[in-house]
Amino acid sequence: MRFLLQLFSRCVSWLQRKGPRSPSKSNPERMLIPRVLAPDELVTRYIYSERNIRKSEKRPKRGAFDPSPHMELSVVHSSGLTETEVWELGEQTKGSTPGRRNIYARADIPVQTLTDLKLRALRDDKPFIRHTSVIDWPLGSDGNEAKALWLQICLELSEDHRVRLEFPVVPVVHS
Amino acid sequence: MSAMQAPSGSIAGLITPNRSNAQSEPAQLLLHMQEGIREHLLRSYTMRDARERLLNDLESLRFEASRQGWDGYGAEPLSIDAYDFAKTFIKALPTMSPVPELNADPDGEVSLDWTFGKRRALTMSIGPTGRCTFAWVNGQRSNRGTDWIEDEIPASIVFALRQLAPA
Repeated sequence: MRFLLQLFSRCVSWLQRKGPRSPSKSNPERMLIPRVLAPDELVTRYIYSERNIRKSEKRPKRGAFDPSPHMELSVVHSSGLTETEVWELGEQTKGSTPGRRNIYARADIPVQTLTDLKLRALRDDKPFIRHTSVIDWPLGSDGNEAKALWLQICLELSEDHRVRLEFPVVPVVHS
Repeated sequence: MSAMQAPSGSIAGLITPNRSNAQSEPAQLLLHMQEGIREHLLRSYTMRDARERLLNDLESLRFEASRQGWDGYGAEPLSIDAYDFAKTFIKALPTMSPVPELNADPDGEVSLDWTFGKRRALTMSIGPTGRCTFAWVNGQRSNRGTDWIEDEIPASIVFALRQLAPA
């Protein structure tokens, strides 16, 4: 699986280097070829479960970053967006999937914190523009070790103060 | 932390029923004394309240996470077997142990989180087979591992709590 992802990533890099098919820098929204985000970019994880936040300390809990059961963390590429645009993007995700009724908070994650943990953020724009998947979660030698590794990574993210928790001014509720 | 050293080397809470089958007179006397303490603690409002609140929260969690996709990201429903093991774990928590916050993992396991300040935290997940996976950070140190829940709190968790909890 990791080999295929690496191969895929290299193909993407090659296509981007080719030029004619690479996206226009003046209109990044047109980028539909998956690409790995650079460490200075920012991604956002919307939090739909109140249990994944520690309100008193304004921190996300480690459960907010758990990649199971799909072995990837679904986020959005939020670099360059205004505060309002980030919440509007979240608004569009509500009601699209079971459990997405309320957005209680969002965690803004610098990609650098992910690369420090040997993860990558792959902007794939599927199922919507700016959708990004955090990939390369370690497999360990067996399921037990993988689970322990993921717990450790998620705990590091929840304790990393470069990761910021933001609350909506008005709770974002699906009507 | 108030805890008892169980015969197996792991640690049991004062509220955990003693399962010793020792028959000698001193052992019977100790058992009788422990049972008295246990009953006294169970009658204590504070002890009962903390334990009952956690068990009630576990019950709420079972309801909240009972449907596929409860977290908005396609999570599995909470496993009933994991719920049962979590119940056993909570009942066996050492009497004066810090109280964790409960949550469900997207793979259907029950998670327990303890935080003690900046970069002092322990997290663990209880699975449907009684497997207990944990990770902790304490300043620049961190660790992770796997253990198994039987009738008592795994020694690795007690060790981590002792390292992290303020004296």
